[in-house]
Amino acid sequence: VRRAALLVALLGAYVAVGLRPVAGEFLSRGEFDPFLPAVRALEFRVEEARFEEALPLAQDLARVFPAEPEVALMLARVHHGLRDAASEASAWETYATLSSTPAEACPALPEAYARAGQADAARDAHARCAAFDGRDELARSAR
Amino acid sequence: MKRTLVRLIGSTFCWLTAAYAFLCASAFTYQEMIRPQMLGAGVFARWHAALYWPWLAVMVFELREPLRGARTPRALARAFVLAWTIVGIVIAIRPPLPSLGVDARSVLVGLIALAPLLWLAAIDHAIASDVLTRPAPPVDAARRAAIEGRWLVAAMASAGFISLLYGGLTPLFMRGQFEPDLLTLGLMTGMVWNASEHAVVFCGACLAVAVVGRAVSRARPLVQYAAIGALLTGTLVLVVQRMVCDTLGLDGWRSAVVAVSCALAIVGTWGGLRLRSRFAAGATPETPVGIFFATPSEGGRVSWRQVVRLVAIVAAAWTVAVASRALDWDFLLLRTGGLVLWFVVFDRLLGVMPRIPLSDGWLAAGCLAPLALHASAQPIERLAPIALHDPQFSVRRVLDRYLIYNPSFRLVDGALRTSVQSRQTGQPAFRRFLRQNTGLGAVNVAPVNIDFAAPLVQVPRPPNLFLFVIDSLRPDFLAPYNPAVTFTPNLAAFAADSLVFRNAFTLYGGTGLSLPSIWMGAVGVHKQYVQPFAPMNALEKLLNANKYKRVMSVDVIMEQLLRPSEPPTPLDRGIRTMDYRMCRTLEEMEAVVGRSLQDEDEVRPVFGYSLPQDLHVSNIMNASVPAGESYPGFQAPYAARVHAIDRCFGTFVDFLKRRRLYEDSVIVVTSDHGEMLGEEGRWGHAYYLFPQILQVPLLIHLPAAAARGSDPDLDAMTFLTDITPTIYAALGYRTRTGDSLMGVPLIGPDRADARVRRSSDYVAAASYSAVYAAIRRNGRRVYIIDAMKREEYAYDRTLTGAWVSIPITDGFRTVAQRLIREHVDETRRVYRLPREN
Repeated sequence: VRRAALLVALLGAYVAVGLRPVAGEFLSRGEFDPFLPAVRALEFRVEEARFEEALPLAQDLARVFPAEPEVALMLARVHHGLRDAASEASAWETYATLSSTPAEACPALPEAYARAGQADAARDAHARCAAFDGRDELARSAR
Repeated sequence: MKRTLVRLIGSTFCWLTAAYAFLCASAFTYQEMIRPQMLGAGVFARWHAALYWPWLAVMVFELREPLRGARTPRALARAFVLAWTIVGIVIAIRPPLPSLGVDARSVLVGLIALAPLLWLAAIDHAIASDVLTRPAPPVDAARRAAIEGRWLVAAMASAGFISLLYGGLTPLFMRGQFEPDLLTLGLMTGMVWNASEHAVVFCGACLAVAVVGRAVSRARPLVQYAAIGALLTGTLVLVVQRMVCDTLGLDGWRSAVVAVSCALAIVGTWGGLRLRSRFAAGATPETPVGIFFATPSEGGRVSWRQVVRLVAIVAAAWTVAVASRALDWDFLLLRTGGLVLWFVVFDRLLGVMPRIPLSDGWLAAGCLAPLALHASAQPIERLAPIALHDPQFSVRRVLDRYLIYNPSFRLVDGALRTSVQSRQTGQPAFRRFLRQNTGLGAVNVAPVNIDFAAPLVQVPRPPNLFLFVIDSLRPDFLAPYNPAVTFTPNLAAFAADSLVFRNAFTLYGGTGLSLPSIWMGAVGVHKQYVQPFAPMNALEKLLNANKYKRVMSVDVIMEQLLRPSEPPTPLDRGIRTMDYRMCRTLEEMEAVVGRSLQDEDEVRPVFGYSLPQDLHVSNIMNASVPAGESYPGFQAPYAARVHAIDRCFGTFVDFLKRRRLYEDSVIVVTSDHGEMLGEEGRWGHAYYLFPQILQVPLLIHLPAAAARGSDPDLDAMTFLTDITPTIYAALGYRTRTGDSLMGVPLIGPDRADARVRRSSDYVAAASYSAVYAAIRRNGRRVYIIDAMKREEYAYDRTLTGAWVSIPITDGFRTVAQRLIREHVDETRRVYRLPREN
């Protein structure tokens, strides 16, 4: 019996290591996932330029996932579609803060400030964009 | 042994028939192998009905014993002969293979082809049923523990033997290669990982067998045998699905059916033959594992025969690795050969292994040590650079290089890597999404209109057009792209008075979808093919509107896409597409164009087109270098063929110049995709994407009037989808672009905005598999995800043009996958396909 139990335990250990990714996927439920129905619904509306409908969806997602850069990016796109440059700039700022790839906010971030009539902020954003490339992981990994 | 040989001959026919049918069932292999009749597929299909009868004769010979034997096997054998004679008559009347296509019928024919193997297995089991029904010798706890000890030690010895075998061969396979990552430290790292991962696989398998064996140890021998058989079948189902079906592009229910039927046929044949040999020897194995695998030799002595067999394994390992380098399909031969060797090694070592009473402690330690090393792979990878005081050292990079030269490690690493890879949320969903949107053969898609100019009226004096899509031509083998190339002087001269787009990419890594995208001037839906294709065929519309005389090779793809206003003058008539050769085609084209010029009634412009296959991987593998030629620094057979293409192209250009046609012609030289020429051990292009496959040459010669004032940005990204709109622009049309999937002219007033091109992101796909690439930073960075093999890669292009592998961070992955997702969504929107919500 002891040998049988040992064999089962050892096989269990192998199976557990093999199934670790599946377990990880299960445990991470509730985290942001680009294939969540709400995210897909938002993406489709943005793609079809239905920005009025997309805004509440994006704002809901931003409330649920306040630290998710992808949501900030979607929100920025919605505001861009609605020609709300100030809100767009704010969303891009959020994205640049949260994301490990802040250079993705460029050149949209300074351009949004420029459209909002905030020349100083636009100039500052351009300068930060130039600097982003230095701490952007995409750029860093290339070196 | 004799029986095994006869069975092998008979089984080969069944397996070839099944393989042909299953290849037809996959859109990918149907287009890539069956239609072009690669590897003798056409010959086999034509001769299949005739070969059937010799096969049946061999089978009847094999069944001579049961046909005279006991009642049940005799009845089964008679039924076999009767049933397959009827099938033979049906096949003779209506041979099934030549008419197979991408549908369920092909799967059904494949299943029927495997049925004789299962039937023979049933007969074997009926003959030797005595072995499974007679009471097995009692096995007490101590004896069982000793038997299990033998399995485990044999498993560990197999892992050690295979690790040492391939570890020893690795430096030989590396000969002549510059591998800075695989010096002493790198090779040692590879060896340790190699041994540990093999031990994980063998120990895991051994534990599964031991646990299942114990679970049914009190049942009848038949039940025990069935349990082990089911375990082996389940394992083989996974293996066939992952290794074969994924490689061949079979997905969904087709994949499941093929995997289950293949696994049942293998295990049935294996079990049946072994059972009969045990029956003939009058042996009763202690456990059912003894039926499937070797039993210990008498007195534990090792015979010379066993030693010779182990030496033969070494030779087989070498042969498989060498053969795979000459001809393989996404390492299918390599991996299958490696897996068979694993089983054979285990079987042989089990045969020489005595029973070993292994204590619980040793058992636990032996099994847990490799597992612990495997589970700690990520921390070890993180700590290694610190421990070695070398921040540049990367275990993963070393292993990625090591597996190129160690086939067995490639196999085991591929099987185990996903269990330690970091997984972001949504990765399985993303891969599922890609698979669902790839190869939409069964989905009805209505054509959309692709019009670059509306209304499309005839232009005055349209120029002659020549479009040469040289299959698999890489830009770095052409002098205009690589100053080290000295063997393409004619293309260099042509480039001197042409536009050379230095940053050109294909958006499809395979002819199947790349060619349509060139003619459409747009990215299409991932389907071969939307019919009718004519509304989307923008280039054909232009040819029709301007009454071009078409002089072209109608290859296996174009014959499905064209609906010309009049039949073309065909080139390469009666020649298989895979046998199209640039020189022969150009000679024909020259003759036809020459005759057209002599005919005074023929004042129409000429459109010349061909898809030469000189460089296709299937033609390169057996190519040789002509005597007296050498290409140091280049893949010589490939370079020799590029040289030949260049010579013939030069002759053709001379002809155009002599006839005063050159200056006023639009001549496009490009390829449908690039090619892997042994980089990281990979060859070909069809089933994956890498930068070497995505980059293509694009040279466009324009009449002086069209070239005037063009001034394109030659270093900005361009795509094959830009060729057709560029031809429109060369003819003087003002072009319009309806959506982001359409190409843009590279010349003229509507030409692509270079600033946008340099800063935008683009997505490419393999033609036959769910493999996608995001191309960023003006073509300097590529992210690739293979949704079939669950792998991803990223590359950066250095200033010298070389591609280097770069790490994939979570942020990088998120951005690249978003681009791919949005591209797929956009394609669905443009082609009006329904969405998930």
